[in-house]
Amino acid sequence: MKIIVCLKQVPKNDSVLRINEQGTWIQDRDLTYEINESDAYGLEAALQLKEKHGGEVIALSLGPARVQSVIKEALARGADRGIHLEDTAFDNLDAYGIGTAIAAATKAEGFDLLLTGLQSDDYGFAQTGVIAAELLGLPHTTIVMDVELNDAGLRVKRELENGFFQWVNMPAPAVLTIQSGINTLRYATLKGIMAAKKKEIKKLDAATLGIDAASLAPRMEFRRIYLPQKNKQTQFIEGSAGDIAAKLIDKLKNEARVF
Amino acid sequence: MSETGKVSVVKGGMFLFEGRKSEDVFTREDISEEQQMFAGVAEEFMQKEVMTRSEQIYAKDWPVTRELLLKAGELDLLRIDIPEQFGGLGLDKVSSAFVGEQIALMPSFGASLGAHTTIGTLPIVYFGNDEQRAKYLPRLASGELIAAFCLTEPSAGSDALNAKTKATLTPDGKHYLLKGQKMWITNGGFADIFIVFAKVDGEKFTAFIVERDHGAVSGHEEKKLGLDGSSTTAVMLEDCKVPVENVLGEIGKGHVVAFNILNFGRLKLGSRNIGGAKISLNNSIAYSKERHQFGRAIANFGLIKRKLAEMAIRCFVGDAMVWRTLGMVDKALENVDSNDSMQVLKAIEQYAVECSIVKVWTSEALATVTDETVQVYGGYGYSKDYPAERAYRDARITRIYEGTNEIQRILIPTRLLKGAGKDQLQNLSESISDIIDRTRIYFGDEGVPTARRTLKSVKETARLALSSLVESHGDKLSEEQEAVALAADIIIEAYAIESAILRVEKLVSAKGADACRIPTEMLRVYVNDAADRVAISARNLAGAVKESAKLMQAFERLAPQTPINTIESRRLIADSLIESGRYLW
Ligand SMILES: Cc1cc2nc3c(=O)[nH]c(=O)nc-3n(C[C@H](O)[C@H](O)[C@H](O)COP(=O)(O)OP(=O)(O)OC[C@H]3O[C@@H](n4cnc5c(N)ncnc54)[C@H](O)[C@@H]3O)c2cc1C
Repeated sequence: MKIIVCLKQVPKNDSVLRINEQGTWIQDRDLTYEINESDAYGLEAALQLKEKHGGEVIALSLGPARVQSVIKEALARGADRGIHLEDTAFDNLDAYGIGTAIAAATKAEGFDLLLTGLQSDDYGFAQTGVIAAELLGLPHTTIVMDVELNDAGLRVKRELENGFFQWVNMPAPAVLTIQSGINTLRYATLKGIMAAKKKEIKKLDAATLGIDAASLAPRMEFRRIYLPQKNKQTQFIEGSAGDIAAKLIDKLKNEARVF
Repeated sequence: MSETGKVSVVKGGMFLFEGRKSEDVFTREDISEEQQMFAGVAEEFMQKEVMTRSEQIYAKDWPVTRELLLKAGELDLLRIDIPEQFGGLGLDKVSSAFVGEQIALMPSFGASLGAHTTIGTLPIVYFGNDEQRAKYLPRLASGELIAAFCLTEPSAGSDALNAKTKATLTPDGKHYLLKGQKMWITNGGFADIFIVFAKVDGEKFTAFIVERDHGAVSGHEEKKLGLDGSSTTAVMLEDCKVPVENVLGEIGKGHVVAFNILNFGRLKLGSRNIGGAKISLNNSIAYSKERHQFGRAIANFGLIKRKLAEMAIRCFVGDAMVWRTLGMVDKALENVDSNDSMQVLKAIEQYAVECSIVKVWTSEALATVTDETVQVYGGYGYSKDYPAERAYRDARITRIYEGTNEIQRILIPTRLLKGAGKDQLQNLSESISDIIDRTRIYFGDEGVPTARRTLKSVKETARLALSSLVESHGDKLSEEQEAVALAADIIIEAYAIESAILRVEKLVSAKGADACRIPTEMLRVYVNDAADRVAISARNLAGAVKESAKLMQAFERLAPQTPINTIESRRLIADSLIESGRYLW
């Protein structure tokens, strides 16, 4: 089974967040990075499937040179090789642009299973995997908690709401977006890190993938980003004790929404 | 490893007599991406596996500690220094010390792991024969076996060679019977392998590899001030029967084993010490931003800022010293055959002075930082519910073990006089006048260049101190410990100042002066204060040696400085810490 796992490099969640001068995103020079959380679970799911059924795990990441570190991390944990989509044309893409590039690269590579995380910890769009699947013309399932292989293809557990879930049968190749916390992440070992040096990381740019830069133009933009304003307001409720209690209950229920 | 490829080999102890350029030294900034990844594994392991079990570890639930050590072994954290052919990774000291720094997140567990990998395992790595290495190293590498180092005895602490433990050959010539008692043994309660020092026939100080089953018996757990979660016990050897094959190194050469291994121990303790200091500093930053008094976060108060800045300066300078030394040792080890243990030892032995300096300086820096952290936390610093209290207690041991700081202060000048300094300090009386001629009062403050000039004076002072010691006390130096320690303090500052300068120069050439404003301020403040400390030590020394008039004259020339605004500098440093929320260098 040939599995491609998409890994996004995102700011560490204890990063110092400062808004950039244009007010459109956070200043990246202050940031340290890590693998997006749900993507890490995708990688683990892929490695476990490989251990059970054999095959190959390929770690794919799109972004500037620094994202190689997430590919190396994946190689250290046991992925067999890496693909790095790097091009200035890939800077500042929206989910559609990223999905387009991923679809082109994975189509060229070929696969049985394409895994992404459910959503990224920075933008939180939860669209990339689905867009890639649509562009590839393949079936997809979101918020996946478990993957099994069967004769027909895949048997996949989806998370629904309120603790309910659903098992879905689907053909392969397919695209799955993986939920966080579904398995126990393995550590890289020092030997794994040393072995990763010898594994291949293939670099692909827009031209090689036959992507026309215009097709990547963002369909969405950030106008302004700002920190939530904290403000304290004191309201005095007046009236009889009974009135006050009733109004207070109403406010707690409908404004503060604490019950 | 070629990580340190850029750095050239320098002779140990030579820093007082030669100049260094920043491209000649290794700094923290030279740590490779791969080494960062190694450390990442260690950090994740500490956060997820160890910190989550702190309650059991502090309750001395040793099976949990053993299980965690085994897990550390699975991640290859115990095999870094072990040669590849014996199940190790054969990596450099920078890698193992950088991993060690992450382990400092919990000093108790750090002590267990560090005692195993460094003083427990390295004796076999460097002194074991191939049979011993093949027999023990693979299982020490995996964490299946845990090791301890048994040098200290009830009546032989600093005076370790005065050991009473005896080894007597059995009549059939097949075993040694060991009889005696070891004290304060880290991992004593649960180790399987003990590196024991005993005197063959009551005379020849010798190292042995002792298995628990040979008859080593643990005493009760010591009730300690700190490191609650590390096992420290006596180890009783009552007719403990050790096969002759388990003599480690040569009979009568146990001191070579003990002292060389402690050099590694001291150096690695350096990276753990500064690692610990950074954790305390980060706690102080976070707490001082949250805690409000008089309507403001206490981080806004000048006296709290002064503390934060001072802690950061210690972390910055300490790292400069630690990584410079590690890089130096690695470079020297790169050029010798790693299978030829005598060559390896010669390579490390020459840096004994630097290792002692690192041990003393970083353990005292950690003491300052953890003490000030308690102060930043105020009453909460005194409470067991906050992290400052434990850090303060855990730090205390680092000035005592791996050779007390007093002993190190004696060793530093003594070794320099026997080693590098022997050739360099000929014609002592002449050199004093030379030095007086060369020393000049300086004024002005342009950051790094001023620091460079101060360094020149401090090094002159250090050489002057050394030569005046010899001139005044000759071979009776051992009875003049106070004077020797004053010289040691000057030498230590010379190494600290130089290391900090080299690190800042390297940073500036990589990132540009603007990006290095804060490191440059840290350097200015450190050098400013260190110059005064040197002047005080020198003045006290001058008062106590012959030719004091000449010396006084020299020292006085070294002392005057243009005042700089250290208040402003410390505020700048503190403000950057407060803004970023943590120490970033
Ligand atoms: C938690 C802990 C863990 C330890 N782990 C180990 C271990 O794993 N293996 C091991 O072998 N040992 C271990 N030790 C022992 C430790 O190394 C010794 O405690 C240390 O070397 C000091 O010896 P001592 O306690 O006998 O003090 P002493 O030597 O009695 O020293 C008492 C004081 O006198 C000073 N002093 C002694 N001699 C001189 C001198 N010549 N000149 C000036 N001052 C002097 C010392 O500096 C000190 O201030 C450990 C100790 C502790 C507390």
